[in-house]
Amino acid sequence: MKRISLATVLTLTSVLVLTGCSSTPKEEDGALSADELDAMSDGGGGRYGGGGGGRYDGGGVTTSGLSDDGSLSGSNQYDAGGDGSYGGGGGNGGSQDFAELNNPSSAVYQKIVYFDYDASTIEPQYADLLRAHIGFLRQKPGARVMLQGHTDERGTRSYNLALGDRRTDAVRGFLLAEGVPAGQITTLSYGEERPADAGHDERAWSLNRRVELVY
Amino acid sequence: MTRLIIPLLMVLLNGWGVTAEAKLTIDITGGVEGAQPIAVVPFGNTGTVDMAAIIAADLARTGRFQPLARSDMVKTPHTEQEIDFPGWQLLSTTSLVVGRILPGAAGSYQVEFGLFDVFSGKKLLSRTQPSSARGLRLTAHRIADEIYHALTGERGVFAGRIAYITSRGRGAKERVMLRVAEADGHNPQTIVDSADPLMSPAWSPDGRRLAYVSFEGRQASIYVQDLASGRRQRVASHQGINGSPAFSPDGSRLAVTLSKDGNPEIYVISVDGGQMTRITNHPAIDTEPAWSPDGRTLVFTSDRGGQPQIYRTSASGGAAQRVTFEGDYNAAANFSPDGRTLVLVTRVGKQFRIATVSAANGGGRRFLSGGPLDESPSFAPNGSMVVYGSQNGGRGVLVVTPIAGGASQRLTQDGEAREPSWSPVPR
Repeated sequence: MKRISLATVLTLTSVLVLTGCSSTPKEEDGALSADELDAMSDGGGGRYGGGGGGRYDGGGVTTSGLSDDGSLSGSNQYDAGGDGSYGGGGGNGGSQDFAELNNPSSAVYQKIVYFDYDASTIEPQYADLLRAHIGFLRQKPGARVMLQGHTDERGTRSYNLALGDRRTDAVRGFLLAEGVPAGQITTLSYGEERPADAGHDERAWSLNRRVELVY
Repeated sequence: MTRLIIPLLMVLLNGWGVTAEAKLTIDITGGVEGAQPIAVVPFGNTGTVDMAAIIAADLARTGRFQPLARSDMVKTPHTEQEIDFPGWQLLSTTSLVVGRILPGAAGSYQVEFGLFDVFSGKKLLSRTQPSSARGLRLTAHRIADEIYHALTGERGVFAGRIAYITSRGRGAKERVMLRVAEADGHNPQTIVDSADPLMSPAWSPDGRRLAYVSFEGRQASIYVQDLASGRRQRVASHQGINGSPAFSPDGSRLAVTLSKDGNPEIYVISVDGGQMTRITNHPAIDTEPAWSPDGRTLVFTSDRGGQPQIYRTSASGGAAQRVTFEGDYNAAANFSPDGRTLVLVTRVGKQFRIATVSAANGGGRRFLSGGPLDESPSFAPNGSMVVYGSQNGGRGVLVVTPIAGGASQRLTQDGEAREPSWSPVPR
């Protein structure tokens, strides 16, 4: 367990009280502890490794027409990100060095913050992780981070989209409060649509309630 | 509890649209007590499609009919003249459907059918319907709808379609698809195929367009896609959440959830994305808007009271009133076609279950499912059934359950299936 000062806890609490969720049920059987969760997130966008978020790019979309008798007619191709979206690789610019993001011994290698059930409160043990990223972002004005919010599968999908949004807001609020310019941060909630673990138990759920910092 | 597993031979007989992903098991669970016995005799000259089986399955799915097993049919008449009514009376069948498929011009068919009351021998309905070879399944659904209407007085819904989201693979190999299938789950066709999540398909009132959410390009956006052409328009793509689209009953507007102004709020936008009216204004989560059938009211999910509950507001904005009070989690409400009932997701203990409540006061909660992870309920367009997403063996499946009680039907496909939505009008 990482040690943090009482002052840190108070600072975090004051930042988070606005966005925090009221209920924080006790840990369920099978849920992973914070330390276990951290041990499993091996940086670089967690289990997916390398570069974080890269796997999501470049998919493209195909749509097809459907006739009344149920047969397909024609198709249209769309390139992912090709139509003026936010994010979409909008980019870590300049000649700055981002290699430390992928260096396992670097403080900014860990990029995942986990949350309790139905909660958007940042737990104190993530202060060091977030402060490392805050330092990184402040040192490198060309760096852009996307905060991707996720939930477990319980509850309705659109409500979970909102809960994931609340989690990214909590992390964003902390980054802003400690001096990261708003222009370096974007947020995107995936709700329950992108589980890190496809299981349907407490263990999987505790891995899925998270915000990933994707550069 | 009876449990019928119907392996659908129609899939094999069906000479078109047969792919590995069209494999489908229909699994009917639950009692059929009180259901009306009906015999749907195999149609004569059956070519490529077993129309009688499709009709019988459609009727069984409503929970209001119990089709006679074919092994119990002593005779197989195809025309009125061939029917031996006293013989059918011995089988305790009250209604009888016979028919035949006759060749028409240029590879088309004429489908002739009749519906009879077994005890009076009276003809309740008879018709000849032209059909293309490809259209035989749809014609069978239309006949089922006519029979349902003749016997219940309610409009049938089996000529409609179900849109849903399905996904396959994990990580970089994941594909997420928006599919449209016949109302019995057959002939699923992919109309959007993406490497990124797709969510919340919603039909336009004319059944010609679908709104949905796509995360392509690391941006959540709401699209409206024309079903026939596959062309689409992006109607909302702001910073943050762009979610939960729902067409107004007149088809001109969409209620949506956007967080562009800081937190999730309900907005009404014109379908071309041009105009926007903010409906809610509260620091809590407001999402999952649904229109009342008269277009005057929106219900939505909000946690402004500490936990998610259903609220109601005018479709032009203004103060919101809380609707649900029973239970500590009520979400994703949708109106019944008559506007009197809401179907929603409610949490009981740790179980997320589908229930109906009064739209007026949230009372009279009645459970339609047992959980544990049920979601995305909506009514069939005649209000007789609810379709929702559930899990079976760790996999997302779709379930159709009659409001009257009785047999639930599970539609299982390869891969996950979720977020079903029944098309508003039969084609």
